[in-house]
Amino acid sequence: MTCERKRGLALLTGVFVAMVCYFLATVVLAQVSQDFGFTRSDLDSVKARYLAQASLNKGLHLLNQASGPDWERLYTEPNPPFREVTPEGWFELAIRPDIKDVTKIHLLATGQVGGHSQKIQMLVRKKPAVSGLEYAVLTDGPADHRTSTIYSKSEEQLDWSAVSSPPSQFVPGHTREAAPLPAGNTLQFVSPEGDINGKLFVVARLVNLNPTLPPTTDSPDVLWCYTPNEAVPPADRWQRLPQIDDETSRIRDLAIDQDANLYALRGNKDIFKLAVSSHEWTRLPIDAPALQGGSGSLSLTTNQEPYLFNIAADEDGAVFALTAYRAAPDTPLLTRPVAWKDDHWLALNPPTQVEFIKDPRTGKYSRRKIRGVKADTLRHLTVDRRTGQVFAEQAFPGNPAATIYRFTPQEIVPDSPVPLLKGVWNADPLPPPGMIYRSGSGWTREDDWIALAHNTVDQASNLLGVYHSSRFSDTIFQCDLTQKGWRHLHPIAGGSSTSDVSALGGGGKRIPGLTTQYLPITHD
Amino acid sequence: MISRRAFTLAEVLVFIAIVSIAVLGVFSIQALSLRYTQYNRSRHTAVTLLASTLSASQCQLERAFYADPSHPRTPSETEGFETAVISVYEPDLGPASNLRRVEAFVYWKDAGETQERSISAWTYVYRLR
Repeated sequence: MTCERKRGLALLTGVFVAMVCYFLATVVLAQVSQDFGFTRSDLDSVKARYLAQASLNKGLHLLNQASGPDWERLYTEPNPPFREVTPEGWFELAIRPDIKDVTKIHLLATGQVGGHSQKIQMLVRKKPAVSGLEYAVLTDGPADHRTSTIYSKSEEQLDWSAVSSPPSQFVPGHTREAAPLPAGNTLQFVSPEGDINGKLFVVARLVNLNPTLPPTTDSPDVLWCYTPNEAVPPADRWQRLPQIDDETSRIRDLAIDQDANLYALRGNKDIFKLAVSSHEWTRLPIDAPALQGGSGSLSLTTNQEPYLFNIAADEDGAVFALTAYRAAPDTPLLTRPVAWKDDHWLALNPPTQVEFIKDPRTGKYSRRKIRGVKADTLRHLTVDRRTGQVFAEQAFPGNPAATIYRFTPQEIVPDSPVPLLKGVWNADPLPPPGMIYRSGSGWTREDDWIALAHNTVDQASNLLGVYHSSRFSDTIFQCDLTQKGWRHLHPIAGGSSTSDVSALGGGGKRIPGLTTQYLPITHD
Repeated sequence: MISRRAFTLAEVLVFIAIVSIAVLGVFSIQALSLRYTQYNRSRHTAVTLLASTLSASQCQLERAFYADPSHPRTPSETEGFETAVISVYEPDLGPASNLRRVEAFVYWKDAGETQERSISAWTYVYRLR
């Protein structure tokens, strides 16, 4: 009996082992099959996303081809079948009720591949064609006679021409009444900014050139507006803007949105808005956690409060700013981009830091992603008012090749610790320009990338930057963001061989006719 | 009386055969799964590479920093993978059109295989002016 039982047990054991093996094999195969399904699903998802994008772009193309406001016939646009799958893509037109004129249209496209669908929205707008105007402030002359002159040129012109200067006046502290300049003083012009109508806004600052005279410390900066009207005598083209208040802190930066509202950064904590409608200054509230870029876990002390050092505005009245702060005393300075939009501060997601490294043997540059904080110092923030894209430069210690980032806003994430303006930072298409400068023997080019000293974007999407030279005149570079790469502009005639471009500004001038351009807003 | 007869040779052989078949089956499926896991991993990498290639080409064309983003097969930063981009105008629209069709390809070979694999995706890009 026992023998029969053992035999039966052995048989059962064998069958059990076999079943365990079968079970294991089934599990492994199921896992592999599932993985295979996932990767196939990934591919279908990618195809569906780009199919939706294709539909939108086809729709945009048809929209641009259409004459007149007959948008309805663009309602549906199927795409041709593609290889092994039969994708479907279409777009639909949606006019938002809150948009009063038909200059902005939302397009929605869905791409379907292999049971996967992806939706993409696009905002299409009709906008006026604008010729870009560039402004540069040139500081020149010996130390005791240094003068500051504003120059401008249009996109089509090669040479710069001087803009008449604001009247030689200053405002003694607390008087709000203009007075002639005191002896030994001059006006220095800071932060020129042009609006879409070609007007120029600039800060005039009293500077004492004579060290033997006591400095005038209680004179606030004065804001001036220049209207380029040929029919008006040059002296009357300048209009003094109202003083913000009685404070004498310096105005560090100006920004103008598409509606010609003016923003002024005074000191390092206050942003004021001069509404074009009311012509009155209002102060934007400051939100310290947001100005830390969402790093809400920091415990700030008074001397660690973030300060603002750069502002720019976009078409929709959003004000972008760079803030700087230290997480703790004796720790590296951190900078964060933030935005004031719809009466709230938003933190922008910071860029993935990219450094361009020059190979000393080949002279070529390679890009390297920085893991961890090596140099977290963004600077020179500016905004393309046409597209809402934000530009900022980052310098790395010991490396002359700074990196220029371009940020495309996509969506607001309200549920973050600090509301987040999420977008994509891109460092690929905009390496810094190459070093080139004008010496007595002509243009000299060196095989080095350079950091910019100032930058701005005009209304025609030209990015301008300045390379400071210690021996020769500064060089102004221009990058057409829609067509070309970097090129250097003609030097400003009238400046000496060592003249200094101390500020740049961008503006524009409307030209007749309408063009259509699009602004992608979300990608699912 | 208790029977003490041992297992016969046939019984032992049958037992060994059953267990061997089961174990060999598991091993072979394990080997197969490793191969497919490798394949899935490669395919996942390829999909990621495809999306980034298409995205980069789209970005270049929209901004037109480069005259033509078409490029033949070139090794990617990921070892063992090659990418290619074909950018063509739609024949019915002509070269003056702002609309361009861009198709990206990723090629790779799995370890121990001679057959090359590829995936592709396409989109239309609208050039900004």
